[in-house]
Amino acid sequence: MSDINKEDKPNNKSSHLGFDRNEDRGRMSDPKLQEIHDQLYREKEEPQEKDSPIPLLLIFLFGLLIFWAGFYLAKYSGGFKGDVFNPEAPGGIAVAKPPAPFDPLVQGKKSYVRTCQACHQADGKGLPGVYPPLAGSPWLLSSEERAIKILIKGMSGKIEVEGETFNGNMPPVGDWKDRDIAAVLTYERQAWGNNAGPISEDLVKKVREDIKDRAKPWTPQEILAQDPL
Amino acid sequence: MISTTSGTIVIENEVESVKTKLKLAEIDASMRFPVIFFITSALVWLGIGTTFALIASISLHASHFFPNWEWLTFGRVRSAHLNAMAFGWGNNIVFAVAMWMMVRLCQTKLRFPWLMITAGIFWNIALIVGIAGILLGQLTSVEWLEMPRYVSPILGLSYTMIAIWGIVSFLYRENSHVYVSQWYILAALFWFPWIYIAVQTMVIWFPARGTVQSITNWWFGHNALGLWYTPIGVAAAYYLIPKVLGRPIYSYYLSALGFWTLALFYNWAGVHHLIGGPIPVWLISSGIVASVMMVIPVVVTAINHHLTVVGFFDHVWHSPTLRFVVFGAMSYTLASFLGSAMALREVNVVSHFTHATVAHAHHGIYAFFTMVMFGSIYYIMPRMLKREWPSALLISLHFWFVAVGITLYVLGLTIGGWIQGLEMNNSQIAFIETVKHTIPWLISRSVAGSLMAIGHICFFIHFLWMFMSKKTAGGPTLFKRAGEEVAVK
Amino acid sequence: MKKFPLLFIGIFLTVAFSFTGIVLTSQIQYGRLKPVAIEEGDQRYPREPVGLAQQGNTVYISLGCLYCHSQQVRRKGFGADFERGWGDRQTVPRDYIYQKRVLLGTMRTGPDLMNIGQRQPDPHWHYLHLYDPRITTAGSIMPPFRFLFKKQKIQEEPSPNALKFTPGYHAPVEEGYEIVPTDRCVALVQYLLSLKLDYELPESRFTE
Repeated sequence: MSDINKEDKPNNKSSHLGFDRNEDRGRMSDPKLQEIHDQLYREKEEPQEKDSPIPLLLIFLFGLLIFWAGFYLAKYSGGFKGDVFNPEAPGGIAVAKPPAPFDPLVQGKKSYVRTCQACHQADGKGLPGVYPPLAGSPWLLSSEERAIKILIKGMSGKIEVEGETFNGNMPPVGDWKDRDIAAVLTYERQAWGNNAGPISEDLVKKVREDIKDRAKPWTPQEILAQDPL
Repeated sequence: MISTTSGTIVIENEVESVKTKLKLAEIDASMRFPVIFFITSALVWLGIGTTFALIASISLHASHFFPNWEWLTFGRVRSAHLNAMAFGWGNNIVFAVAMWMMVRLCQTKLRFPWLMITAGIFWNIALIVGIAGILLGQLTSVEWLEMPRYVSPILGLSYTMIAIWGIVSFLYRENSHVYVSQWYILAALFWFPWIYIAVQTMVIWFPARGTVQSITNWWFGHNALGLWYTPIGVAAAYYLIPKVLGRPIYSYYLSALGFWTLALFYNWAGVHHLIGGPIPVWLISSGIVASVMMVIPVVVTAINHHLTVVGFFDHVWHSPTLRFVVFGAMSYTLASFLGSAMALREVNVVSHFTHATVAHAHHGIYAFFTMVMFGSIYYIMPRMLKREWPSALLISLHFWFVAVGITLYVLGLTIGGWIQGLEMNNSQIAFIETVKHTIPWLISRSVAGSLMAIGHICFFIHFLWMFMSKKTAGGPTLFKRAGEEVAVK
Repeated sequence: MKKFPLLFIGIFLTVAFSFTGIVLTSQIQYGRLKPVAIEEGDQRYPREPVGLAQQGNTVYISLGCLYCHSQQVRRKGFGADFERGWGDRQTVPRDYIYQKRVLLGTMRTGPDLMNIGQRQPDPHWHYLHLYDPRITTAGSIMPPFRFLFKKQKIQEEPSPNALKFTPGYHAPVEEGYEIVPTDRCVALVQYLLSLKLDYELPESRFTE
């Protein structure tokens, strides 16, 4: 494993005052002297610095950078205020845009993606044994009131959908606005091959009023008693 | 023999030179135990940190590989890795290399070495306790400060002892010229306790309200890199490149410009970790500006080094020290340019929150800082042990495994992270799909990390071997030159 | 540069400049924010976290969840946070004044959690997800947190929190036994459910 290079190191400025190591292969008799010699042999001068000037081009480029920096800070600092968070804000409190017209399918899809998709999945097929599907599900597609009731109060217990049993919890989203509940159901009833009619905000309002005294989530038995499949 | 007057000056210079070198030999002897202690500690922590790194990396694409132990969960292992590497490997090796350079450049012997060793022992004990604390769940979840707060006073005390010795050595200096490396070391020694104490106070001990914590956190986190590890890396490059080549640094003025612009701009760059985040926009824009202005010190240093080395690249290649150090110095330039680019909003909107950030961090701390430190160890140890490295082959293996490893690491995660960012910004692609697409890149990181680990093992073996070998000076161990005969020992 | 005092002054001033400019100025500009109401007399926001959610916060910190999950919403147009349903408005400093340890995060190996309480209001989803993320999210790389659960014998009836696995899932529990979340897990999930960006602030209104 001996690929040791015994050549002189390049540019070795250390002087031996006449003693050239490579020619004299014998080592000195005094090991201490040898040690000192080895130290001198392998040590170079301490580092120095020349005093070449800074290239002018560099100074020019840096000037450009500093100019850019000033410009950038002037434009994008929101006046150095503590309550401006966006570089394009006109200065002061972020201005709310005028609301776009409410499109139930678009907003309903947003709500679905944000809240429902995690369980019922992006393709509406749910998770076998855990979360029921919505695609083709009579629980969604038949009675409108039933679907609204489930969303407002939630449901807990055993149900059967397309031959499979599920025994879970549907959490309520009663704190949503009426129009959002209507929108998400409208979206679901039109997605993944479903083809049922939209649900109106007024219907949601009416159903909410009807069931306002109920505190707990539905059980499937109760809700099927009111609105059979 | 020489007989003219200029010849007398030549002899005087020669005599001065020999005197200096004898002095350096004495200084090295005085530093022996502290330096060997700190280098050994650093290498132990490097090994520990590498182990945690592999576990963390594999956990992200094959978590079933490990038993489901709580202390091995990704959040904790990853934090243990960072702290072992930063404060275990990083700080110990900084103490060794910075102190060694400082006393050499000040041409003064180290006084009271036992004090430094004591400080070092306390430092390492505090680290063991701190990292155990992390694994046991007492981590703070503050990035770069995960160790539980009860170890920070001990760390602070140890550090102060070491820093004071650095400054004392400087005040006792016996030469008048203050070389550029000394500026960087002095600055780093002073900056680190300030930023550490400030962030411990405002984020951990007396937490500020709201995102003031985050700003302070990242002012510290980035400054740990920019005002602590980077200056020592740059100082080492500035010392070793001219030293090994025997040529002077190209320009004192470039050195000075580089130092002061680094001091000015690096301080403000830390906010780029929070672009798009809940803080006032002027702070974000200042951070972006400072990050881009970092181009100045980086270019200046690169030019200075390059014009020192130009024409002697084959010497660089054949010296183990310089091969590592120059790899490191070039990586410093590249990593900094990429970093400045990543701070621009147009780029950051893609790269933020992705694995590209992790790639950039390792580009700086490993491809630059760690490689320069490896080179420094290859230079320092022969002078401490008065022996040469036994095997050029092991040095070569070490180099290739870690060089290829870190290159693969940075490339893999930068590309993977960039794709991840682009897909994350496209809401048509489900989030879980973006995650699945990162998996091949995460696997490439584990492969890269394994290569680096093998390189480290070669290094550890070689290091131990050197202690046991009897090979005294027969000239320094260099890489073989092509086409030359190998001398028979 | 031979003179130590000059060197020292420069070194001191550069860090003092950034410390003052970044850290102290932040403290002055937005370090004393209080909750506010949009209209006079309305509920003030943000809400102070209480009870189990606070304990869950400690569990979140102790497990290092922050290292894969962020808690900040970028403004609409800067990334796709809004389109992904991660929040209806950008987060601002006032949203974090009640976080004892501000958990902004810098990685999104997993999704942002600022609004996870609205996105995933079902605690059972969270229990299943923590037990083995691949059950609820096929292809997830999140490591399992089975150590947050315990196996116990079923008493007369299964516990309300007992995990319900998909049929065909590698059965982790034999007949007569169930897997339930430990108290830490329940607290953690309560914390996650409390993370809701369902309120507005004067400086950050919902975007359409």
